[in-house]
Amino acid sequence: MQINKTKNDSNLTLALSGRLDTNTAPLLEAELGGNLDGVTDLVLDFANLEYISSAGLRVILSAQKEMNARGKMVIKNVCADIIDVFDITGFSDILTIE
Amino acid sequence: MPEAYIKLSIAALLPVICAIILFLLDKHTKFGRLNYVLKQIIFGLVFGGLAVLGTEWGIPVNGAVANCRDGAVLIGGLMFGAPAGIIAGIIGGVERWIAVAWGVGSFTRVACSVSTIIAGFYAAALRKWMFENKKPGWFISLCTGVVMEVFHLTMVFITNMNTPEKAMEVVKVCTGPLVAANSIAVMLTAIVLALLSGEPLIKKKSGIRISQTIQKRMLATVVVAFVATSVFVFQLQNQIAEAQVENLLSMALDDITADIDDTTNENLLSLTRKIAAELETSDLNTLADKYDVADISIVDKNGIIVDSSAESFIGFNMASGEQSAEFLALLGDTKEFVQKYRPITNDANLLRKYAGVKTETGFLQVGYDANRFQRNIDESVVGITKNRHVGETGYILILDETYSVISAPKGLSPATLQENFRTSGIGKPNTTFSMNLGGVPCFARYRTTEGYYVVSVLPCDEAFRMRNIAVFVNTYMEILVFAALFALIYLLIKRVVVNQIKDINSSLSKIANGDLKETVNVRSNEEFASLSDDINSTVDTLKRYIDEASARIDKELEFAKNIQASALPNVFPAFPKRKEFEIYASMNPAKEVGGDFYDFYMTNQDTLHFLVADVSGKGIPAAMFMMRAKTELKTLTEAELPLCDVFTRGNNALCEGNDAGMFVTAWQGSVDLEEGVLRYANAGHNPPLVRHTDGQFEFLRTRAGFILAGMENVNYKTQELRLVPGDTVFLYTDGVTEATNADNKLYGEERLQTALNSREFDDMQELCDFIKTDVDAFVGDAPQFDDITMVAFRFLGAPAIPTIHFDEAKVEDINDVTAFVEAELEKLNCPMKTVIQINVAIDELFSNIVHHGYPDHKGPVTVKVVKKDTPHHAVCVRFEDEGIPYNPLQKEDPDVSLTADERQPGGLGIFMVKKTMDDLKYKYENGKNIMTIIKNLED
Repeated sequence: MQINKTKNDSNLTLALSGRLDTNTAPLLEAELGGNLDGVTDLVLDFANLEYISSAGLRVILSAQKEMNARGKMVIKNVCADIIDVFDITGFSDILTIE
Repeated sequence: MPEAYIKLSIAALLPVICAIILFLLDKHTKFGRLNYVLKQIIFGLVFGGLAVLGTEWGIPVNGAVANCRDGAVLIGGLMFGAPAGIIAGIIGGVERWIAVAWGVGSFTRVACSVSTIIAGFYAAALRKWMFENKKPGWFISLCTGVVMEVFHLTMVFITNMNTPEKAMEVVKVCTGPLVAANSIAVMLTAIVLALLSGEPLIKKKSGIRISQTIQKRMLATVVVAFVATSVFVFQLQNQIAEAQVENLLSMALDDITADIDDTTNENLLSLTRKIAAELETSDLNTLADKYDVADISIVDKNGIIVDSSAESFIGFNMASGEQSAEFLALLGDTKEFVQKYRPITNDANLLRKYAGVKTETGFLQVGYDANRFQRNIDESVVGITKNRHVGETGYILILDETYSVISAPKGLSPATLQENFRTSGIGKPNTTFSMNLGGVPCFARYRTTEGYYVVSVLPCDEAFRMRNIAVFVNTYMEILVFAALFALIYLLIKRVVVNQIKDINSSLSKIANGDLKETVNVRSNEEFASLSDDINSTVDTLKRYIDEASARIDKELEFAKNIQASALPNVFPAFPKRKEFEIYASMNPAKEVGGDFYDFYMTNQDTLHFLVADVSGKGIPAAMFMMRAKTELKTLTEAELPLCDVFTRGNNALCEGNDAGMFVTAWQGSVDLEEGVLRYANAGHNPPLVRHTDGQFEFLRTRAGFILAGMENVNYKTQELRLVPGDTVFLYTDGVTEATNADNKLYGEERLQTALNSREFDDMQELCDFIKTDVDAFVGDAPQFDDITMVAFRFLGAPAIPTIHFDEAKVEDINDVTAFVEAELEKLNCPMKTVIQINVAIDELFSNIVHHGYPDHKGPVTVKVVKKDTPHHAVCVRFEDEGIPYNPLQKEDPDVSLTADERQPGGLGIFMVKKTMDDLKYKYENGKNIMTIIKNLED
C-alpha cells in the first residue's frame, strides 16, 4: 500500500492505494499518529484502494474517533466493494463518505 | 324254588368270572403277547367249555331245565372276538346235540343246539359289523342277551310245531330264568370289563348317531305297533277261545243230556212194553208194584183214561192238558212215546216221567216218579259220563240238587268238588262261567236234566292254550323282528350314510390340510352326489380365490421389489465425475423382496459412505424393516455424526417399536477421499475383504459390535483403515458365503477369498459379476435361499490439492498466501469481487492464527484451495494450524449500530468473513484447527 499525503494548513488528505490489510494498516496508523496535530479536516481518498480488512477498519475507526474530537474526517472515492464492507460492519453510519 | 334260582345264578356267574380272569391275563401277563389266532382259539375253547358246563349243570326250574350255555358263547364272541364266539358256539351246540345220549332232554335238542351255534355267529356278526370289533356297552350287551334267548325260545316253538302245547309249557316255564340268567351274565361281564379297562359306564357322547335317532323313532313306532298287534291278537284269540269253550261245553252237554235222555227213555219204554205184554194176565196195581212204577193207565181211542192203578186218574181226558195231550199222538201212527221227567197236567206239583205204547184199544201209559227215576238214572248216567272227555283235559260232572257228585272223572275228589260248588254257587244254566275246580281254574257250563246238574268243565289252560301260544309266538317274533330291524337300520345307515360321510370327511380333511386337488366323489345316491358336487365346487371357488389372491400378492411383491430396487442407488457408474474412487453394488433377492440392502452416497465433497446390511427374515416384513434401517442410517450419517454415533443412535431408533423382533447386521464405511482414510463400524456383519495394492484380498476381521435393533444402548466403535490408491474393499452378505449347492455344501469364505484372488479386475462391476457367476456355478440347480448382495469399492487416490505451507508462519506471509490463492482463483475464472472478498478473509483468518494461535506468533500453517462441484460450484480455502484450539465461529458478532466513539476495535474480521463468505466450517481434528471458508462461484 502506498500513501500519498497532501497537507494544507489544517487540511490533511491521504490518498491510499493498494490494500489496507493486516500488514499495511500499521503504516496508515503510523502516518496518522504523527501528523494529526492541528489538522481539523482529514480526507481519506480511497480511489485506488483495492480492499480493506478489519485491521484497516480498526485504524479508520480510531482516526474517526480522533477527528471527532478535533474536527472532521471525510472518506471519498470509495469503491463499491469497500462500501459493502462499510455497510456490513455498520461503518457507513459512523463515517462521512463522500 | 329259591334254591334253584340261586344255583342258576351261580351257574350264570361262572362265565362272568372266567371272562374277568381271561381279560386280566390278556391285559397284564405274557398271555397277551400271544398271536391273535392262537388267543382266539384259546378263548373259543374256554367259552365252548363253559357252554358245555352250562348244558351239563342245567338247573331244573319248574320241571324244565334252564342253563347258561348261550351266555357263555355270547360273552366269548362279544367280549373276546368274533372267532372265539363262533368256536364256542360250535362246541356248545354240538355238545348239546350229543348230550341227549347221556340224558339231557331231547325235546329241545334241535332248538338248543341250533340256538347255541347261532349264538356264536350272532355274537361274532354283531362284534364285527356293529361294534367295530370293540366290547359293547352294558346296555347293548343286556339287549343282545335278551334277543338271543328270545330267539332260543322261539326256536323251541318252531322245532316243536307238532306239539305246541308242550313247547308252550317249556317256554312258559323257561322264559324268565333263561332270559334273566343269560342276559344278566352278558351285561355283568360288560360292566366289569369296562370298569377294568377304565372306561366310563355311561359314555358322554358329543352327539347322537344317525342310526340311533332312527332306531329311537323306530323303537317308539314299532313298540306301539307291536303292542297293538299283540293286544289285537290277544283279544281275537281270546274271543275265539271263549267261543270255542262255549261251543265245546254246550256240545258236551248236548251229547250227555241226549245220552241220558235216551237211556232213561229206553229204560221206561222197555218197562212199558213189558207191562203191555202182561196186561192180559195181571191187574194194573199188581203190575205197578212188580215193576215199581208210579202209575199205569189205559187210555181208550177217545183219549179218556178208562183204567188206572191210580184211581183218581180214571176218566181223565188226556186232551185236557198240554203234558197229557202229547200222548194223543199214540192214537195216530206213533207206536211208542216217551216224555221227559216233568210236572203232570192234572197235578202241577207232581213230577213224573211217562212212556206210552200203542195198543189195540188205545194206548198204555206208564209213569214213574222221582225216586224211581233217580235210581234209574244213577245207574245209567255214571256209565255214560264217567269216561267222557271234554276237549282234551275237560270232563263232565253230574251233580244232584245238593251238589253232591253223582259222576266225576277219576282223580278228582267228590268232596272237594262239592265244596267248590257250594262256595261259588252254580250260576245260570246254559251260561259259561269260570270257577276253580279242585284248585284248577276252569270254564264250566251246566244244564239240568231229569233233576240233575250236568256240568261240562274245561280247564282255562286248555281253553287259552292256543291263545297263549299265539301271543307268545307273536311277541317273541316281534322282538326278533324288531332286533333284526334295529341291526338292519344300523347296518343300512352305516352303509348308505355313515360310510359315505366318512369318505367325504376323509376327503374334507385332506382339503383342510391344504390339498385342494382332492375331489369328493361319493355318488352312491343323489343326496351324496349333490353334496360331493357342492363341496367340489366350493373347493374350486376357493382355489380360484386363492389363485387370484396369490396373483395379487405376486403383483404386490413385484411392486415392492421395484420400490426396494429403486430405493437403492442403482445407476452405475454412480459418480462419473469422481476420479478418486469407483464403487459398484448389486443385490439379487431370493424372493421377490429381500431383507438385504446396500447404500452409498456422499455427504460432502470428500466423504463417501457405503454400507451393506442384512435384515433378519425375508419377504415384505424384512423389506419394510430394511427401508426403515436404511433411512435411519442415512439420516444420521447425513447429519455428519461420527460413525460410531450413527450406529449407536441408529440402533436405539430401530429398537424403538420393533415389536416384530427384527434385527439388522450392518457394516458401514466412510472414506475421507482427501486423506485416504476409511473409517468403519461393524454391527454383527460378515467381515469384508480388503485388498491392498499389490497384495491379496484378506478378511478385515476386527471385533464387531452387536447387531442393530437387537438391544438398546449398545455402543459401537469407529475403526480406521488407511487406504492407498488401488486398495479395494469388498462387502457382501451371508447370501454369498452361505449359498448352498445340491450337496448341501456352503460356498464359504474360503471359496470367496480364492475367487477374489484368482484374477485382477478392471473395474468393480466386473468383480461383482465374477463373484456372482462363481456363486451361481457353485450352487448349480439348487434354489437360492438368501439374498445375494455385494458392494465393491476401489480407492483410486485423491487428486493433488493446491497447498501452501509455512513451518513458521508470520503475518508477513499473508501476502504469499494471497498471491497463491489468487493464482488458483484465476484458474477458476473467479470474479474480481470474489477474489477481493476471499483475500480479505485470508487476511483476517491467517492474521488471527498467527496473532492468537501461537503464543510467540509463529507456527506451522497450511492453506489449501479446493474446488467443489457439489452441491454448488464453489471454492474452498482451508486453513490448518497446530495452534491453540479455537473456534472463531463461536465469537459473538460485534454491535454494528454503535457510534464510532462507543465502538471497540476487534471482532470485526470474523464478522466480515461470515458476511461475505457463503459458508464457514470449523473443526478440530488430530491436533489441528481446521477452518474452511466456502465461496460459491456464479455459473
